This record gives sequence, C-alpha cells and structure tokens, in this order.
Amino acid sequence: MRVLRAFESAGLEYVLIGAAAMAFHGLVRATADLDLFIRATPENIERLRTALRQAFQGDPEINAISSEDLLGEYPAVRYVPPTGTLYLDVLTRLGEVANFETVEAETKDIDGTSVRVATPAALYRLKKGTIRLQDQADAAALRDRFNFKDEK
Amino acid sequence: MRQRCAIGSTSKTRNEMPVQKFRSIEEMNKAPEPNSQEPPFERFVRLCSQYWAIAPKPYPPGIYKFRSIEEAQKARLKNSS
Repeated sequence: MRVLRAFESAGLEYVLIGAAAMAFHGLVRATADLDLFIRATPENIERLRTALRQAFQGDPEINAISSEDLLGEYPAVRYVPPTGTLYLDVLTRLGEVANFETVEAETKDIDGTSVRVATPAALYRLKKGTIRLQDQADAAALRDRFNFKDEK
Repeated sequence: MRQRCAIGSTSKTRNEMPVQKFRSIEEMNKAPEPNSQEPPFERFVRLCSQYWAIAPKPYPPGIYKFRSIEEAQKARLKNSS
C-alpha cells in the first residue's frame, strides 16, 4: 500500500498488470513481485524514482533506474528494496506491441488511494499467449471467472 | 474434463457453510475462499505478507536490468530454484 500511495503522490503514470491486478478483480494469489507498465517518458521515469525514494526511505540504489535504460535497451527493470520482501518489475514495453498506452486500464480505489489496474480482458490478453506456467494458470482463472470465450 | 463448480446443496450461503464438498480437485480450486467477506485486495496483501515471511528471498536488494520479459523470467526461475 505504501508503494501505491507513493505512486499516486508522485503522479506516476502506471498500470498494474500482475498478481496485484488480478487481486483487484477478485482473483487472489500470493506473489513475490509487483508488475507494472509505466508510461515511457523521461519525466515519468523521474516520477518513478521519486515515488520509490518516498516509499523506501531514499534507498540510493534507486538512482540506478535510468531513462536511458528503460527507454532503450533495458525495458524491464527489477527493483528489490532493502526490505528484501516484495520486489517491483517495472516495464516500459513487452514485446513489440504491449506497453502503457496499449493496455486497457481502469481506476480502483483502495483506502482512498487511486490505483490504475489493467482490466480483466487486458490481463487475459497479456497472459494467455505466454509460456510461463503461472501466467497460463492466471489466464485460465481469468477465462473461467469472466467467461472469456476466444480460446481454451 | 472440466466440471462446473457446484458447491454444497443447502440453502445457506457459502460463507455460512462450515463444510464444502467437491467432486474433484478442479472444482475445489475454483471455489471461492470461505472467508470471502474480506475485500480481495486486503486478502491479497495479507496472503503476500504470510508468503514473504516464509518464502526464500531470491535476490539481494538492488536494481536488475533485462532486455526482455523472457530474460527477466529466466532470472526469476534461476534465482528461485
């Protein structure tokens, strides 16, 4: 929650796409990470750094998150905070087509904090074609819960 | 073969049922948690807290960069095995 509040406070443009997003839609499972797309602009990446510093007591490791990487050769950055518990997988793009702009999202409220969350249909599209077993299980759960019909 | 989830046969709601019966493990896995009065995100946070308390910590703190999600997932598998 502290991270989500910091995202809102910093004005970060993001959308949750992993197990946390699934939880907002009623499909609850444990996870080690928080997956999110962020809008791929230098200003937004600065907001990300601001939010993470706020949430994790100014951890100096956060300085290593750079626009150069996220907008260039490294569109996926994993941040493991000093607490060593939940880590964040921050993405600016996934393959050729999926990014912040292409993922349909909705705003949820949790304890007065607005949270941008991928819709069930968007999550299903992201997960159904992947080879990771957990993603396949998530896609099956989404299909069953929301009656998506396009494929088994 | 998939079976439709058909929980119990009493007139009580699922939250009042002390015992639920299932015809298969698939049916059991599809059933909502009995304690589903709790909002899903709060349940998620609680579950993750329990998970983080007992799960191995796959990474030392810091920043890790990947050229693709596949590369990130490979690193995750390598570190969790």
